[in-house]
Amino acid sequence: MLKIILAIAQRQWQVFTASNSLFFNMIFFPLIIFLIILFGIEKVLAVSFETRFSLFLIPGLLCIFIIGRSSRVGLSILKDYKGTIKLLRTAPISRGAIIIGLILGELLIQVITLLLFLFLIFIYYKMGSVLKLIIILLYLLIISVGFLAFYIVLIFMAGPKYGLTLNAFLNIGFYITSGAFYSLGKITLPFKFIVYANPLTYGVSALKYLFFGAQEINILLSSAILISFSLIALLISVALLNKKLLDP
Amino acid sequence: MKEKMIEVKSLFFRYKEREKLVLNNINLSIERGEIFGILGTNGAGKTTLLSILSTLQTSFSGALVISGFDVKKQPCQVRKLIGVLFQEPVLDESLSGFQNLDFYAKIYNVSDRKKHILKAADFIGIKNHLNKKVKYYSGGMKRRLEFARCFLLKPKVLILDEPTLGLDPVARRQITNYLKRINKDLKITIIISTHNPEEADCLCHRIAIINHGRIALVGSPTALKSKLHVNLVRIKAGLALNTIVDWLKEKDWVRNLVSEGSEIKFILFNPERNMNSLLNFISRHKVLSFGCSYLSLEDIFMNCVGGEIKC
Repeated sequence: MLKIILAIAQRQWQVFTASNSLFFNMIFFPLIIFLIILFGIEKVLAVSFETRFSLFLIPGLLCIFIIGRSSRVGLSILKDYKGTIKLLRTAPISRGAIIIGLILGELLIQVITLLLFLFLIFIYYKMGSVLKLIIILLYLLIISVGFLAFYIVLIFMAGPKYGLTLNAFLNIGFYITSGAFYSLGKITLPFKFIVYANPLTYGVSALKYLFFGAQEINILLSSAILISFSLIALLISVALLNKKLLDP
Repeated sequence: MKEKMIEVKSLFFRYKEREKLVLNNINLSIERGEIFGILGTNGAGKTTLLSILSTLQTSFSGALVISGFDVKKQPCQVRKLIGVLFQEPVLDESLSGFQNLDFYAKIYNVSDRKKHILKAADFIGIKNHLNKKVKYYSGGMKRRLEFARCFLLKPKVLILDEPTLGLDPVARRQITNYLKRINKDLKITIIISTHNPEEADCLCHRIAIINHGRIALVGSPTALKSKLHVNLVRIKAGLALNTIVDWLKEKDWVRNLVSEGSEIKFILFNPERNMNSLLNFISRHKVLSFGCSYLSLEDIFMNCVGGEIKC
């Protein structure tokens, strides 16, 4: 079973690296945005914060990157469902191996690309601690698992026709209401409900704490909510994929 | 007696409860090493039948056994025996032909992968293109790569859902020739769905014509052609044309009567009973030529699906 899982995960990686558009969208384009923010925005705005403004934006940007990729993965798995996944269902392998292989492959891609960004960030801001890097990566992985699973469920339920529109709508909603670009302490009451209902808020908040020590939501609470969200989303997505693989 | 490879007994299938039956009482028996065609119009139930044979659908009623294994109870055993080709090619376009084959070699735990991949690619004639990305392959080459994937897995049964759909005549002919070759050389049982009677006629040992989820006819192409009890008749009549046409018009066993120039064409029903009467009448008139043949498989197919038979 391990061989099958690794073969499927490796195929996901091969497709990712071989597809120019995927590589461009997932690495090159976000990298450009990062560089613009790192070298440009701070100088243009020329404002003084306790924390450097570019660093303040980093947790949100990482989360936006994760969400963007997760939603694309959801769509590509849906596309694969009528192709490679359908063919794999005629192979003498377990359904579990297909699901785990797919999710593992995507997470592997996510981790490798996130590591690239983290290295850049750590070098630029002179954050020397490897432990800190590992902890941040772990949190990013939890956010990735949650949103990857969430988008798989969402796109499979919405179908290819509405999946893309729903994706775009939800992505923007998640970004705006997550505190990625502002401090949670300054938001007014009606908006607060939406912000706190957004699971990404807890991811951004936890990352803000890890990057520059700002604790907008208690780190234990945000970690607990984040882990619960990711676990629930993962369980639902595995159950859904399993059902889809058994009974199309 | 030849060994049975696939046995389908009283198979019924509908996608959802209370919906119309997509497959209605299918009974089939396919022998080892046979090329078996499933001929039907779009929506007749061909793809559904093949997806059941491929173990993708298991919520059917009835019995389906492949090489002694029950598809419902032992799908994993069945999956070890089958190779499947869907209507649309399933390939990773951004990967090379070799990478595509290598992925499935790993999935099926093929030993000495490289050797077997090259052998399969060589057999199907794409060995020199293996390092190219699949997106640069022609439609025919993509299909051949899929066939190479199937051979690599050494299936006992090959299930093909309209494998020549969308291909040009040259690529179609190539695929047909490959299928004949692998059937002959490797003794693989092939089940192929198509809506092209000509293709089924030249490729298949036996054909089932499926219409609205039911099997209308099963048999070898020759047997099917003779089964319908109709003949296509052509008479070059010369001066007696009008007399013959008038006489034929009165007969209820004459259909689709067409007269063009000096030639008369029509379909003769129940030739065993009516041919003598026709010949008696013709012999009394001066005719230049007389020809009689079975209908083509396309005509048989049209007859089964309620379409018009052309003379």
